[in-house]
Amino acid sequence: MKIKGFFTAIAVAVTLTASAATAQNDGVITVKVNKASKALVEKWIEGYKAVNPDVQIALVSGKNADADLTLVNQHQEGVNVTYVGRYALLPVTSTENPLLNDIQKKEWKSKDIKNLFFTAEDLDEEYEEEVEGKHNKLKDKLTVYSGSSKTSLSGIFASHFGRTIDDLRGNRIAGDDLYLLSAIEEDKASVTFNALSNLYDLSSRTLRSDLVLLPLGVKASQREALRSGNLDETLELIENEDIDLIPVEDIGFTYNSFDTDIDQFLQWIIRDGQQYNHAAGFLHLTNKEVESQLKLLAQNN
Amino acid sequence: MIKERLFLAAALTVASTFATWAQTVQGTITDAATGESIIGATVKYGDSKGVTTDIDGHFALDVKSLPVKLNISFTGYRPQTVTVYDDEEDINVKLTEKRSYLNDVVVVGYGTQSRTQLTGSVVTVKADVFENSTASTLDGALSGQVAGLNVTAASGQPGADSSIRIRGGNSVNASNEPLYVVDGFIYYKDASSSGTGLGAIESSLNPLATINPNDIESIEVLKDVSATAIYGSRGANGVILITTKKGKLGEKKAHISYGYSIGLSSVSKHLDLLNASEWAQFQKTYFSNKGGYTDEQIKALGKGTDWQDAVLRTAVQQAHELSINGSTDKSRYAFSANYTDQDGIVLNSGFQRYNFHTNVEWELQKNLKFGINTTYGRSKQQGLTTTEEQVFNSSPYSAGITNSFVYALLMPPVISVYNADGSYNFTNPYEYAYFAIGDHAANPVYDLKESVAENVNNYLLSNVWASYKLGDFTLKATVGLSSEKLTQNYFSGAYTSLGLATQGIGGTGNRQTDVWQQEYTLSYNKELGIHQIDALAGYTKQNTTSTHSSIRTNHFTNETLKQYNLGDGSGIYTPQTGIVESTLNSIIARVNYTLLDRYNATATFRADRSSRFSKNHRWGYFPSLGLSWNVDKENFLASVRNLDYLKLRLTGGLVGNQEISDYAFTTSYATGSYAGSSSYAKKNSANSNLKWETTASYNLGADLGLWNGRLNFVLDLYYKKTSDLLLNVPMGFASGVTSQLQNVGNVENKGIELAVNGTLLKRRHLNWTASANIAHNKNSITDMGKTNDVILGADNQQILRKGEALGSFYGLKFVGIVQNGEDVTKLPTVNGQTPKAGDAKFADANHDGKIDGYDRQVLGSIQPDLTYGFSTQVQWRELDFSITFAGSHGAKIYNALGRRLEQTGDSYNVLNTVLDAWTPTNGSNSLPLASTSRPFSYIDDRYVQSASYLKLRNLTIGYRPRLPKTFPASVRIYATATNLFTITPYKGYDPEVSSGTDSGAYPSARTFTFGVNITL
Repeated sequence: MKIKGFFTAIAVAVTLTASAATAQNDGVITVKVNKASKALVEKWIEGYKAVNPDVQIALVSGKNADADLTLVNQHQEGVNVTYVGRYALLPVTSTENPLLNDIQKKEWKSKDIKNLFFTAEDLDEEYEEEVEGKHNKLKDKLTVYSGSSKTSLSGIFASHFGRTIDDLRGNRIAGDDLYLLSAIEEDKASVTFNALSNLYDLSSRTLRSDLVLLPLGVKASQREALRSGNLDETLELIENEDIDLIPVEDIGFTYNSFDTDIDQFLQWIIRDGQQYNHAAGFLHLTNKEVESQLKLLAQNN
Repeated sequence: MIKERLFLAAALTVASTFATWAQTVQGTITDAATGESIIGATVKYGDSKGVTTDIDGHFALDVKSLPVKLNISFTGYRPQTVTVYDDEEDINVKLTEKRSYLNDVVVVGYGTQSRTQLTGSVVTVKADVFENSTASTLDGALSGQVAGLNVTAASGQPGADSSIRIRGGNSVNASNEPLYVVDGFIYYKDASSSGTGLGAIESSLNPLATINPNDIESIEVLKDVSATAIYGSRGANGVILITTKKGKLGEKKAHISYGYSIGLSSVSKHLDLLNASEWAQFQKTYFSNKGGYTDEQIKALGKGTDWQDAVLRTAVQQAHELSINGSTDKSRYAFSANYTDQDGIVLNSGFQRYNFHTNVEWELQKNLKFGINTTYGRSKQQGLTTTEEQVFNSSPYSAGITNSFVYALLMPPVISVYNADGSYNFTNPYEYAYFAIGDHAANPVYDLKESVAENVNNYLLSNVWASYKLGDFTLKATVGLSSEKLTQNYFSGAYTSLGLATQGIGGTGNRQTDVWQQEYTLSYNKELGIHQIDALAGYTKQNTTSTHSSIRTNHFTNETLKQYNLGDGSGIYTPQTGIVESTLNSIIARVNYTLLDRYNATATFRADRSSRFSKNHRWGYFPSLGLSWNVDKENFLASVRNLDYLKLRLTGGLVGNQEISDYAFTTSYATGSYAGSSSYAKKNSANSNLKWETTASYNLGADLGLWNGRLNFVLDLYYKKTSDLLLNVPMGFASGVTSQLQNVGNVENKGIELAVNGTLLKRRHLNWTASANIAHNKNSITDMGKTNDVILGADNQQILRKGEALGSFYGLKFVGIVQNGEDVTKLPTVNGQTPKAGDAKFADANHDGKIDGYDRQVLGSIQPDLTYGFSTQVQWRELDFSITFAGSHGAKIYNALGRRLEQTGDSYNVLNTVLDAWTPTNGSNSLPLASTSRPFSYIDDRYVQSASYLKLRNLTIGYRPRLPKTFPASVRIYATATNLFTITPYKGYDPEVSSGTDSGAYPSARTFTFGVNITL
């Protein structure tokens, strides 16, 4: 009896674990997301269920989890992917950074950002000489934090400035990019970068009170929108103007299998789900992207 | 039942609590550049002891709670801090190498070593050098790249051999070529495998043609004894380690690249010969005017036939190159295929090769790796037939006619190549001696087009290895085979210069050479605090079997099938067959010890047992010791700004040379035929004392890096003394042989080398680097035992003499021409005659009043005083540019061709310099009055000319067009000029002739190549 009970408990545990891990139930669309996009995807599911109450969609997570749809945060080569939104990255530091005054005095142009965030090798030496004794002192005192996980946006940030993730100087974290903000909270004399969805309080629609954006060397009008600390103004600015200093990248879903339910869900996100993007700190797809993604979905059918 | 469930729940709760308290974070540490796992990296947090990564770069570390700050470090890499906030994913940390010259890992004998721990003098040549070069063999690309490594091409013949000397030559009769090791397989340019005994083919196929330069990942040149002693009896001439390309671990996507190039070659220099009018006038003025030309006819002759142009051509070369490499989780692979087709600039000559190479490695089990390297290919060289080296007056060779190309230069320009009906012209009334029988004379264009002189080599080089790691120990076993089948074909028809006398002659020969190699090594690597030990011990064995056979016949009745119908020849030469077998058993050992990452010591020992020496002298022992000091790591230099590294090296030890022919220690006989029966002639006289040539070598070196590796210097001073010199000592008549190989005397080499490389400009879109090297070597024979001077060469032009360098030229000193009115009674006599106006004058060195062999002096040597190279590369946005110069200063070359072409007579053409020869009205002081007299028996210094040169070896401009991101490939197009110019005082075609005697070497070409590389 004892043995039977023990095996019963094991069997139940294994079954539950397996079902959670595979999340591959008939009639249910399983979606795997990372922490940063979870709020957005939840809003999409909620919105979609409101008009299609019979559809069942479940979120799964964990490194071994398998799902019908997996959210990816950058362009993918060689796999089927439908892009459903965009996000932007901004460099940031803590309000308690002892070097905050020096940081805020500067208008951070592309060269400044490259010099601060990346290893010195291969950088423009003329620029190095130009700023030697001024900016480099600041660089020496500031620690850069970046992510090392597969889902980290550090690679996106690096490639926007023509470098690779391996060129980022400073310290790394393992875990979700949200923890980069914890890292700079702990190590005050530091900088990092993050997606708007992590930088802004989605309820108050304002920049988190413990953070300060690095003042970017952009046009005065653009600077005002960024300085406002208002998420919606910032989203509108980035959507309407092409600002070279701000990395913008697509998010999308890759899929293991493709059927009508998945097709309709994705079509809905592209057509109607965009209204939720801003609420979660994400950018809308451009009109051109909407058109191209719908066209690609039609081709899948 | 309830109790049981409560117990289970409680147990799960406890386990869960325990799990929170002792959490395990795990991950992998890899190299950011290569993706390869870093074994032995330290991962720790706070004051914890930490863990080190395993063979897969994997670690697992128990921590109390998250977040936790991990400190990751590994020698030579930038340390990294990673704060772990959650363990949803394994941690992947990529460490970036500190980019410093001393952090390079270099390939050394039987292993690798960090340059920071190195004690020896090792220079690395990276793949880009071979990728930028259009040379079909690696030696062509190495020229000018390494201080102290001197590459001299044997000739301009495509696919031809070249001579490589590392820090001068040590030996007279043993080989001076370095040892090659291809992915661990020892590959010697063995003299015994260079021919089939057939003869009559001028050029030998470059043994390095079996290696496609584009397969090379890097070459390490081991120059001093600390680096070469592990190769013991074969290390005296330096060692060149060739590492072929491998797939990069971590790069799962296969890299596929294809390259195509096409080029045009033409002769880089023309000799100025007399044209038809000039030659006919010359004949009429000085000789009997055999053609009976009137002045009007002479004028009408014009330029006539330019035989030099007639046998030269603009040649096309092209190459296809395909390579595929990549990796999977447990394996990596590289495959390449190459096809090269290179026409020579002399008619009917060229070189073709196809080559396949694979390099695959699997991780079969956690600690067990297995790999295979295989190269298979076929090289074919079409060259020139040659007259045998004979010094009889009736021999064309003794008349300076060494091959059909030289004969073309000698052809009178009044003779046409073709008859009016388009058929070949075989009428030449001026040819009376060597290449005419009856009214049939040879025609060099026909010779070259219709003769066959080819070398075909089918080769397989395969190495299979397995390694097993057991803690700090690694066991490795390697078995390899090099199998080469060389076929030589030769045919000269009845109307060719070489077939005239015998109504055609042809032959074929084969040599099969199989080298089996076994290696078993045990290595140990351990870091114990401030101590680091790297030890190696092993046993190796190499067995070589080489068989050859050749047959020649003459007097052909049907030449249609040439060498494929030798049975048609009614005259049969004695067939030649033979076998040689040799074995080399070796024990190797090496210990590297590093203290505090500053003080390094390397002790090496090799014991070789070679079958090439007599029973009592088969074992040779070769120890070495190297010390180095990373001075920059000392505290007293810590405050020195801009000092990247400073290292001092000191090494000493013994290495050997066993590269003599097999069975040289014993008596041997050569077969032949005499009066219709077989005969035996003594070929070698036994020498039971024959033993190793031993070189004691010492090196003092320094490596200096400044400004974060922007400027690097390597300086080396060395001294080498070779004793028990292997020398063919002339023997008395009673011995039955003309010479015997003995251990006699010493040779010394001492020199200094400096290499500098730097980054001159580094911008985001602009990178400009440059490197330069220069080396001085002084070579001299310091002892020849009881042996007197040894005179060598077909024109007795070289001498071995105590106090002089190897390859010294020996001849008279020319002092001018006897002028009108000069008091000839005060001049020394020549052959008992008093010189007359217009005769050449020579220095009477021994002041005995006559000019003879005793007045000969050393006139310089083939050893250069300085060799140097310079190269620079610029990358600007999508454009790249590179240029490589190589030079040599102070060496001499015997211009036997020039001597022949300034020898006047009524048969052959001459250089136009003879128009300035002495006449009663032209008091020239360079050339005597034209006559049919043969030149003086001894060479003189007019023809021992400077072989100094500066060559623009390679100039390449490349462009990588910006393509849409959706385009699946990257493309580079390029144009390369090879041998664009040569600055030299040498009067022949090219001062680069490895033998030092230019008796009509195949001229070098200037080549323009255009190509494209496509990478997916």
